[in-house]
Formats: sequence, C-alpha cells, structure tokens
Amino acid sequence: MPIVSAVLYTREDKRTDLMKDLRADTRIDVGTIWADRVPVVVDTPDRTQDKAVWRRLEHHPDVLRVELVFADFSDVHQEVS
Amino acid sequence: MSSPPVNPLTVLLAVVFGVSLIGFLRGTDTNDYDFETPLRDLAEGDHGVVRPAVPYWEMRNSPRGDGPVLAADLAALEGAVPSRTDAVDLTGTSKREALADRAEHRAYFGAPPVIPHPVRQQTEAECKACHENGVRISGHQAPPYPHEAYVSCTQCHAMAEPALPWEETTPADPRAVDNSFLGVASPTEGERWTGVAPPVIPHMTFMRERCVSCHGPNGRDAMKSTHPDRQSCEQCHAADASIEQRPGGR
Amino acid sequence: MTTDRRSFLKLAALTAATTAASTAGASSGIDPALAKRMGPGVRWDKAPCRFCGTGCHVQVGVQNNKVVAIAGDVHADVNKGLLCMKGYHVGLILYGEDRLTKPLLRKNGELTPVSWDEALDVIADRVELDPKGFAFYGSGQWTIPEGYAAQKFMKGGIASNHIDPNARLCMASAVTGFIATYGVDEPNGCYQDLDDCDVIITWGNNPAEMHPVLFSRFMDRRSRGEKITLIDMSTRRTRTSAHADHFLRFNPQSDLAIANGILHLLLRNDSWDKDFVEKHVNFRALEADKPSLKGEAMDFEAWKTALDPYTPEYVSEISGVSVEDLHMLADLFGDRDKKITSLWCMGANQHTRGTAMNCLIHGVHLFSGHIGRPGDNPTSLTGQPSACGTAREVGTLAHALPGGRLVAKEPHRTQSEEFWNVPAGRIDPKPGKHTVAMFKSWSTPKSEEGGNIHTIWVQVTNPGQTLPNRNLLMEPGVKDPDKFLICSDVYPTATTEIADLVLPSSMWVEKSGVFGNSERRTQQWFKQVDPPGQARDDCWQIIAVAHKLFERGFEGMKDKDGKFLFHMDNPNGGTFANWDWNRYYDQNVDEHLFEEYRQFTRLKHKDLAPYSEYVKTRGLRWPVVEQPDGTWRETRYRFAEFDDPYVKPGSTHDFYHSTTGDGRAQVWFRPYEAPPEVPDEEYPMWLCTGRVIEHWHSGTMTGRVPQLRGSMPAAYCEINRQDAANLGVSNGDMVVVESRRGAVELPAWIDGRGSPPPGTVFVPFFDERVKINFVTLHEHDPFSKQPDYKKCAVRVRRLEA
Repeated sequence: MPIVSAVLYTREDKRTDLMKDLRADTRIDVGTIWADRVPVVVDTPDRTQDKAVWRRLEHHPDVLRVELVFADFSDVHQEVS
Repeated sequence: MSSPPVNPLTVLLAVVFGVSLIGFLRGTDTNDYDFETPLRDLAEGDHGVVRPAVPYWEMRNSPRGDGPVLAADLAALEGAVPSRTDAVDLTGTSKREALADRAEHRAYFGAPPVIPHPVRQQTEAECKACHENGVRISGHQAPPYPHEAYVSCTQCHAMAEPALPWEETTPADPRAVDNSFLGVASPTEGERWTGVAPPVIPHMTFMRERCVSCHGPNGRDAMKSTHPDRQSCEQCHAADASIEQRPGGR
Repeated sequence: MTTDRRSFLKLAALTAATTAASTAGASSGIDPALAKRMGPGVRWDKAPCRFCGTGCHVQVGVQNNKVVAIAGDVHADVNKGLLCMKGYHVGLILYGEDRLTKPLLRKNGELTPVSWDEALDVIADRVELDPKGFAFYGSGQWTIPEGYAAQKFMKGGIASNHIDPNARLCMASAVTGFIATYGVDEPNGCYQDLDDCDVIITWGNNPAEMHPVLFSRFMDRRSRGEKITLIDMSTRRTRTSAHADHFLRFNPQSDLAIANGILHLLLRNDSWDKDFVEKHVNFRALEADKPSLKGEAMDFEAWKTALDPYTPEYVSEISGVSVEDLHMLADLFGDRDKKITSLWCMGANQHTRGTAMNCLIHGVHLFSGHIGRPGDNPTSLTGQPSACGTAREVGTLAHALPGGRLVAKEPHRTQSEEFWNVPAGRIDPKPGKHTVAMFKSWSTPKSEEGGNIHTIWVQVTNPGQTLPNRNLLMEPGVKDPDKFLICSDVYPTATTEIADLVLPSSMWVEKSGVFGNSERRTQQWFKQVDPPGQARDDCWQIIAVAHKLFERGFEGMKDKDGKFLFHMDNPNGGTFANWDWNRYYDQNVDEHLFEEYRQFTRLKHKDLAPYSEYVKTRGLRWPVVEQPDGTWRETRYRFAEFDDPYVKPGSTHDFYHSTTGDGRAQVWFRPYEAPPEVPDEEYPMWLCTGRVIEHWHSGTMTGRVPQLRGSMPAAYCEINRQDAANLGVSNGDMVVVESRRGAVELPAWIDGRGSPPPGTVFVPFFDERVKINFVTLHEHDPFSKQPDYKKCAVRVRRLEA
C-alpha cells in the first residue's frame, strides 16, 4: 500500500477546483499551503490506484507541475510495474 | 466554481428569522437586569466621588465603568457576539488560510475583490445592506468594506461569475487563454522594531480607512485584532511611506 | 503494515512535503521569501491607464521585470486614487498567454513566422508598389509620438493623405461639432465641471459603465450630502438611469428634436440669456448649395421662425418624452443660477446627424448662457485614451495636419513643410480617404473606379470587429489577392485573422508614451517592463519602415537636406540609429518627436509644454503657457477671461477661433431629420450596439483578463420582456438578429444589464464570436463621416435547435 507525497505547483489565484478535488478524495491529505505550493500525501491500497491518482493530479488543469518528495512502497508485495 | 451562489434574498430572510428568534428567546430569558427601575436610582450614592483612572494595562481585566448597570450590560452582550477577548491566532495555518482565501478573490494584493455572487446593482443600498458593517450568517461572512462609502460599487468590483441567467452554451471563447500575471502577495505581518512594539501597517491605508472591517469583530478570525477595545488604530500603528503614496515615499 | 507504522509514514511523508513546499525556491519566478509584497522590493512608477478617455492615473508596481500590482494614483487630479475594474486589472492585460511574439507573413493561406527584416522589406515593397495607394489606419489608442510619426511618414514622407484613425468611428462628430460652433476642437471646460455643477444631463451616454470614475466623481458628491440632480436621457435604461433623478426615454434620433424643443421653449418663456447672446453668439444655417461646417449667417428672426414647429407637443410626439419633462428641461436651462453640465459620448456622435446633434447641445448651452464658468459647460466625453491627444490634436485624419491645420489650406501646408523640413509642395492638398471610404476602396478591385487603395497598415485597432457593415467594407478586400492588410497588434484578433502581415507590438508600459485625455490633459509615462518575444514598439516599426525606404533611395523619406526624415542626432555627435531596435531606447525617441510636434501646437492655441514638464506631473491641460518665473501654467477653462490667457482682456468670453472672425460662437439651426433606416414590416425592431463596463471595445485585451472575462464572458441580445414573450424567447435561448446586411446568433437576455423599451434590442460588441458589425449600418454623418452604430433595423427570431 504505497504512501507517496509530493508538492503540487499551482497558481495561487487559480486552484479552487483543485482544492475541492483534493478535499473530496479521502485518500489524499493536504499539508500547509505555501504560496503556490500544495504539499499532499496520497495513501492508496495498491499501485494501480496510486498511479491513477497521480495521473489525475498531474493532468489536473490547476496543477502546473508535480515534484515528488517521498515514496514508500515497503508494504507493497506484488509488483505490477 | 460549482457551488451555487448564496441567494441574497434567502440570506436576508435567514437574518430576519434569526434576529426574531434571538429576540424571542431573549425576551423569555430570566435576567437579573432590572428594566423597570430608572437608572438614576441604581446610580444613587455615586455622586461626587472621583474615582482614579484605571491604568492602561489593567483595563482589559478591570470591570467596565463604575456601576453595576454597565457591568451587567456587557456580560449580557458578550454572550450574543463572538468573544472579542479570546486569544487570536495570528500565526501559522489559520492566518495563511485566511490570506489564501482572500487572495482567491483578488488579482493581486490591493485589487478590489471580485464579488463571489452575481449582482445587478441598481442602487448602492443593495450592497450596503450586508457590507456596510458586515454580516455573519451560518458560516458565510459578508465582509464589511474597508474603504469609505462609494455609490457605484460595480465600478470597481467585477463579478466572479456572470449574472447571465443561463448556462453558457456559446462556442469556446478564443480569448479564454491562461494569463500568467502573478500579483503581489498579501503581507503576512508588519515589521516591529522590537518584539512587543506595535507593528507598522504593511499595506496602503488609502482605500483601507476602516481598519475594523478586516481586523475587527466581523473580520476573519485569524486577522482579528488582539485589542479590539482600542479604536484609534493609527495612534500606535504607523504607515509605511515606501508603500503609501506620500511625499518621500513615491 | 501496522497502523502505527502507517501513521508514522504518512506523517513523515506530509512533513517532508510541507518542508519541501515551504523552502522551495522560485517556482514561477518569484520567491515569497523575497517579499513579493508591498514594500521596497516593488518599484512603482506612474502611468495613465491604458483604457478610456477619462485618463485616470495609475501607479504601476513592477518586480523582476513584470507588473505585479496596480494602485490608483492619489496625486492624480483626474481620479484622486480611484480606478474602475478595468483600471484595477490593467496590469493583467500584458500577460495573456497568446501574446503575439513573432512577425507573421501569410504564405499559402497560413501565417508563418518571418524575421523583422523580412517583414519590413514586405512593407517597403507595398509602399513602392504605388505610394499613393498605401493607406494607414490608426487609432485613438496610439500614443502621441506614434501618431505623429505615422502622420509625418504618410503626409510628409510618402505624400499620401490616406491616413485616418478609428476615432473617425468614435469622436469625428464631436470634432465637427466643435469646429462648426467654436472654430476649434475640444471642450472648453474640464473635469472640474463635475465638482461644481448642480445638474448633470446625459445625452444618450452611460457614464456609470463607460466613464465610471467621472460618474463617481459627481455621484459621490451626493453621498457627501450635496444636492446634485442627474437627468438621464437615453433610448434604454442603463446603470446610469438607476442613479438618475429623472429618466427620459427618447426614440432613436429624436434627440435632435428634444434639443430644438428646449430652444423653442427658451424663446417662448423668454428665459434665454439675452446679454450673452447679444455679445457672444451668431446664428448659422447650412448653405443651400454645398453645405459645409462654415454655414452661412442666419438672421435671428429667421432662426426663431425655424424653431416654431418644435412645440412641446410636437417634440413629445416624435420623441416619446413627456411634455412635462420637456418643460422641466427648459426651465432648468432658463434658470441662470443653476450650473448645468451636459455630458455626451457615442449616442450623440455615432449618429447620421452627429454634427448637428453636437452643434445643438452646444447651442442649447450658448443660447441659455450656461457656458464658460465652472460647472456650467457642455462637456463632450471622449471614448479612447488619446483620441484627443493623438487623433485630433496631431491631426491623423485624412484631411488634417498637426495642430488643427488642414491639408487643403496652403499656409497650413507651408508651415508643416517648414516644421518637417521637407521640400515645398511635398504635402498633397487633396484630402485622403476617410475610414469608411478607405476600406470601401480597399474592398473595390483595383481595376475598378475607386479601387486605388491596395494596402492598409492597421495599428492599435481592430477593424475586423469594429467596422460597420463588414460584408461591404472588408470581405471583398480579404478575398482579393491584389489587396494587402498589415496589422500591428498584441493579441490574435478578428483583424490578424484576415491580415497578410502581422507585426507583434509592445503594449502600454512595455514602451514609453504620451496620451491626451478628454479634458485636454496631456500625460506622459516611461517604459517599465520589457515586451515579450520579438514584440516591438509601433513607433519603432514606422521609423524602421521609413528607414528601409530611405536606404532604397525613396525620395519621400528624405527631408529637404537629403537627410533621413526621422533623423535624430546623438548628443555626442553623429546620427542616432533609431531604426535599429537594439539602440532604440538609447535615447528617448518620444521626447524627440514630442518636441518637434510641440511647434505645431501654437497656431490654434493648443500650446503644449516641454516634454520634461509632463514627466514631473500627472498631466497638464493645454494651452500650457510659460509664466514669467519659468513655470508652466495649464488652462482649465478656455475662452473665459478668468482662466484663459489668450482671451482679450475685458471681453469676459472670447471665442478667439470663431469661424466668423468676430470672437463669437455659432448657434446653428439643424432640423430633426429621420434616420436613413427605420424599422419596417420586414425588419421591425431597432438595434442599438454599445459596450459594458467589463470590456474595452472589441475585448481583445480585457477578454484575456480572467476577472473581467469571468464577470461578463459573452455577448447577448438584450431584449424587452414583452418582445421576448411575443417572440417566444426566454433567457438563454439562442436568437438570430438579422438586418439587410448580415446576421448573428447569440443568446437572449430579458432586460439584461440595461432594459430596452419594446421594439429595441441591444447587443454589446466586445465578443469576437458575435461580430455584430456584420449587422450594423455604415451610413454616416455627411460632415464627420462617422457611421451610426446606434440605430438600424433588424428582425429577431428564435433559433430553432
């Protein structure tokens, strides 16, 4: 069950939709926002879901880019690459 | 973007209902305030005695005024308004959230905020009804305006969402491109020359003459003043000439 | 994994991310730790706002070569720190993502990037093809140096008078109205009138949305407890009407009758200002044969008789205004103690009898003596930021030369040739083609009579969206391979869409500039940020093309001594290479051109001060006259002895450019005449077009500002409730608005921001997707050549899905 955290780069005046989406997803925790940067942690049951969440975040219209900070896969047994 | 705007009429009715309810409850509340006895009877015995003034630093803790009338009044009132003497969180998350929330409606710090609900504005009374002093209803805050009263509100304040009474179905607008403008951010705190000195005002005071609108009881929690009992703000808090458009500034 | 370990990991993950977020370096270029906040990190400088003719001053906050904030300038007399929503967001107009950054040449139907050098060669080729067929379509948003350079290039260089500004579509009738009345252009009074008046009358304009800061200037007096009366005369209810004490709805075109009705009542009530009229007024009528702005003398008795038909009953019948209201207006004008300021803009100017309407408003004020003291003046409001400063004062019109001169007058040509140091006889005495004629000629094949215009260079305006009756005036030229369109602009527009050559241009504070606003105030600013990509100043573009031609030996680009027409010296000796973009800001080209232009301004007493004076101030109102102590004094009220230094002492009022040479102003008789196109059975409704506060003109700049676009994203057909019911239309239903000339489809909005009366619809023209000017009428005023965008006949029907 991967735990992955990253910083989402956004525009301070254009991320209402993003914040709503993040809050709506219970697998995502949001940290203290600094200016245009939103730290998030994504905790999903498996790699497939994890990939799906990050793909969605990367392509979210309000997200300029994603910078990975922390990833833990120590709990993931079956590797689906 | 997808939450429906708050209908002003619903808000107004909620206010009316709320006020009536409070009034009704208040009326049935047993209270030791004596409505019948005229004031001068209660004040008898206090004539001719000069009381020493309360030192400034003890003012917060000393009972207001001289007589039991005012003291009782305040105690009753304090229940009805948000507590003005609670510690205000000026650091960390809630302040940043408050500033981020403000920034969502402003192109840059200092810009007139966009109106988050559609308006028609035929007269200024429509806006003043909620925004002259601010209104707080079930989680929504109508902020009081920080500048002096103007007549043509929609001259400066655009709408966040248009007042068009239909869902837009016209073809995509070729001008709906991204805009890379990055506006200047809100200050987070004013400078102090020592740890306990009153901070210098880190923003222009032009168009922000009514300090109480953001920093008073109807402002955001994280921006409230720690000392709302003091009304003459500019007595202690200096402006900054490099920000203000003053001689020597710019 | 245990819950404890999970929680620990999540916490660790979040902490790491938060730390990364808080200490991360500049992401989009600005480090918050560097105080992206008000304070010493942001550099502030003044500039006039890019938008309307009010001419507010802003303070522009710049950091890291980008605009990051705007504040109203508290030291500016015009706006005293207040702005409107366009002004507050003017900084964002530079940053839409689709800024034009490369010159583009259309090859095989596609716009392909080319170098600047190649672009300049293409333009030079087109000039040499046939210099007399090369035309320039400029703008009231041109800075004064830009317009002056274009004027010199065309009239003093190529010797083609085919240069005309978009102000032809905006203020031309105001110009002819001023000239016919006072002999010289531009208002007598200034914005101080708004501070001093008792009564404001709007004649068909909507200042609450279009000149918002001026609107507040007088309306906020009411909040301060002053008694001020607003009378709004309009063909539909607008935001201005909502604030008015009296709203007078009139039928389209009947404003002519209303003005005549007031004059009629002033006569009947014997309440006109006999003293003023006796000393300062002549009466005029149009010549029967070859009517002109000069007119011929009209006997006072004849003038009175001509007004006999305009009884309140008759005027009420034509206009729809009540007899009581007409008496109310006449009583106001008959009261010498009331200070009345009349305001007007497009309603009176975009009018097939626009010159007449302007003359009549001046006439009402002159006849009743409500003129020449603070608060008591007819004040024509200008739409564009420098229609006054550039188009009108620099004279970038087909018949004009700088400083109020005319190509048709030999002394004026001689003076201009001397100032420009060009050979005598260089300037063509025949007026060139005005806007409508220019584009009509461009849309006519060269083999046909009148098709001699082969190339039009468009700068700082968008005729593809703003010319009336586009099917007639532009489409044929677009399809004609012999015709060429050059467009200098900042964003893709309806014009760049059809242009053959597109030149990316600098915008607002990306270049230095000088504007002249509606109250004769000339205001200057310096460049504060760099333009994007290869965008370059419009003024440089003109000088660079001129130099290309000079290099090729083109005679017109040489002055009398064989030097380059735009020759400028280096202070250390040698020639300043102002055609080389890399050197262009080595010196202040604006200052060079401005100082040369200044010489022209004395003739008509539009004296300008030295450039350096404007740097110090938030603008100065001309005539600016040097005082004995070396300071420069502006003039607030012209033709009035107490303020205008050119008034003959002892005369109280002196209209020293009077067309009759006797210091008197002209009150004209101009009858009511029906519009050229009225609703009939086939096209039963009136169409009025106009603007909204959010958007500037064709919306190319404001449409790219999210806050403004979000507030008003799309055009609509504003329709009366009853008409909607009759047509079976509800809010949001798509309708077709169609005239004899074209049609558009757009959603309907019952009432809308304004409320039209039954039988009228209103469509704003800011939306590129709804090019309403395919529908509008190109008929124009015979003197000003200004088309009437405010009234034509249409039919409206619901678009079946």
